[in-house]
Amino acid sequence: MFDRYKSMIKHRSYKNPQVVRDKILSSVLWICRWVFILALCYLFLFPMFFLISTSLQDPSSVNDPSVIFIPKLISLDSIKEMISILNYWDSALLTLEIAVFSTLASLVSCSLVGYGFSRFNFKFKNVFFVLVILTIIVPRQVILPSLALNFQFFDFGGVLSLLPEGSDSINLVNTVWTFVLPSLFSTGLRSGVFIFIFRQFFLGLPKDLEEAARIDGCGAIRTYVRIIAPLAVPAFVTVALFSFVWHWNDLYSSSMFFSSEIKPLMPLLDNLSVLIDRADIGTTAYSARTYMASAPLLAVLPPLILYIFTQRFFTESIERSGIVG
Amino acid sequence: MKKLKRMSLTTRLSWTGFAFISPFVLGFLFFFLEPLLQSLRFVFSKVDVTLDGYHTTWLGMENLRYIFREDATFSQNLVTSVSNLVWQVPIILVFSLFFAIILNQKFAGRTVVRAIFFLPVVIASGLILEIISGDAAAGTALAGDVVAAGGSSSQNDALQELLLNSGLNSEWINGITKVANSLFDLTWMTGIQMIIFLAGLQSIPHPLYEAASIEGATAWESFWKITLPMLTPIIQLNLVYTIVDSFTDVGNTVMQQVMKNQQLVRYGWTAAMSWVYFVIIAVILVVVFVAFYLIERNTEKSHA
Repeated sequence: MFDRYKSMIKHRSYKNPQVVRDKILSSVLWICRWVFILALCYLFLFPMFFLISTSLQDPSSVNDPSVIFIPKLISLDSIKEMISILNYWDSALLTLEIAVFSTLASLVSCSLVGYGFSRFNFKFKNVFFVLVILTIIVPRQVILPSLALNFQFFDFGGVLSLLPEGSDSINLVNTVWTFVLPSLFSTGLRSGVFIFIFRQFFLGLPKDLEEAARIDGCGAIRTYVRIIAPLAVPAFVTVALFSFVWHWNDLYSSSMFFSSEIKPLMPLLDNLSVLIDRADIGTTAYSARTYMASAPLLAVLPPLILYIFTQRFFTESIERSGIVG
Repeated sequence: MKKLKRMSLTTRLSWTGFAFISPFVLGFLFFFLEPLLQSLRFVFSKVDVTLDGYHTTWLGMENLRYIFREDATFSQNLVTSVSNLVWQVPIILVFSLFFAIILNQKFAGRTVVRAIFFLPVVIASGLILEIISGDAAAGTALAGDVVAAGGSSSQNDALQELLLNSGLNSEWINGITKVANSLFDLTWMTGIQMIIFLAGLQSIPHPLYEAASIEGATAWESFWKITLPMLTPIIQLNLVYTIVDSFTDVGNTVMQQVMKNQQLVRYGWTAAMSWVYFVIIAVILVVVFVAFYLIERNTEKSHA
């Protein structure tokens, strides 16, 4: 017994060439890995560095070749100017409303639908699930034009025209309902993906809990609210963050649904150079660069702040939400 | 209520299940199927929007003829978009798998690194990246070659010169520089795919790797013999996701054109363009599904 330990100690000593070789190899691998990781971190952080440093620069010194990342003259001029050009507070509030309300609607409806698909057996269940997949695969751009027209003359599926008084339709274009209403019926922006995530998560939960609840006389809705939903926090967090970010960053749907002066941020960014020209703030080709940088910075800041605060919770949730089952 | 009580448990449960998915069924009818069929009708008609509604007049193939024969850029955009898809998707998948493998390893500081690697999920807007990379390239041109972002113009020149000296023909050189220039953008398209791969990697049972290492397999061998085969369904999922997601990519020229027509209220052309593009993508998806089906059948055969 004791001899074996002795030989093990001897085996691990630095005099053994095999051990030395292993040590060198593993430290070389360690260095390689960190070089890779740091390079990639730089790649992912670069846009933020770039945006912050460029937008904080004084418009007059943008062209200074000696400035690398750290501005010599710090000024908030371009950010202030951009806030008024983009009508930032109003647009950001609108984008926030879209993102928050659609996310809440998606969380409620998609989790219910996902639960229905994961736990119950009914006729044509597989057919219905194929329809969910279909809503994922068919791109929204195909249905967006007619969806936008429908919202412009919205009649609640014909109900409004049955009523005797008032107009036949109401105009939902330029309101957040264009996003919230489809989300409420789990056919909004990427709702299919959310249904999928919830279904996969619920499939992984043990069935015993619900059976016990049913034997104790707990109804389906109450079982869901009291027992299932609290267990599904990781799935809810994952979907909430995805939904918020996707709604915030959506360009195509929001440019179709909003034609008024106050738009969500992404359609505004899409026309950034036009907006800057129109504002006529006396930019040259050089000073325009700080303006071009401060707009994306302003647009990206809210979701980024959200991410910084929820990041820890989010990365853990993703692992536990079992997206792929 | 009495009726409900008289039902057997299975019937009652099946109705409850249907009640749970009923929001989706309603939404599917009103916010998906109806607009879908309507936009299909728009392809073959002329749409006039008036103050109190819109009406369509039948045109037949006129819209399709227009976008292919008279529109100067559509066919070209279509070819560009689809061919971009063909070479970009594999790169995105390889990158995201690589990142996921890095993140799946245990090392000190992993939580911080993971938070940084997930940034593309949060800043998931191609628009912002487009502004940045356009701007960064302009910045390097102005400020000397200092802020060398991925795909800056000066690197491009150096690469081109190197390739020219090595005697490749110009078509190859253009192709390679195009790929090299877009690597930065492509790394930024890996967000969701990386998360899906990471979840997939974590679902591979650990004992498989232990058994392999006891048998003397190196990490390299177990990657090809364990990780990759176990990930096949997830690769398929990611492939489909990436192809579908390319629609929302801001750099997609077909979609840019669609948007432009939409802003000019040309519903017929918009619908025709997006349907044509969608049909092409659907064909590609079918090819992907068939290919994976064949791969699966082959592996089953070789095991039997």
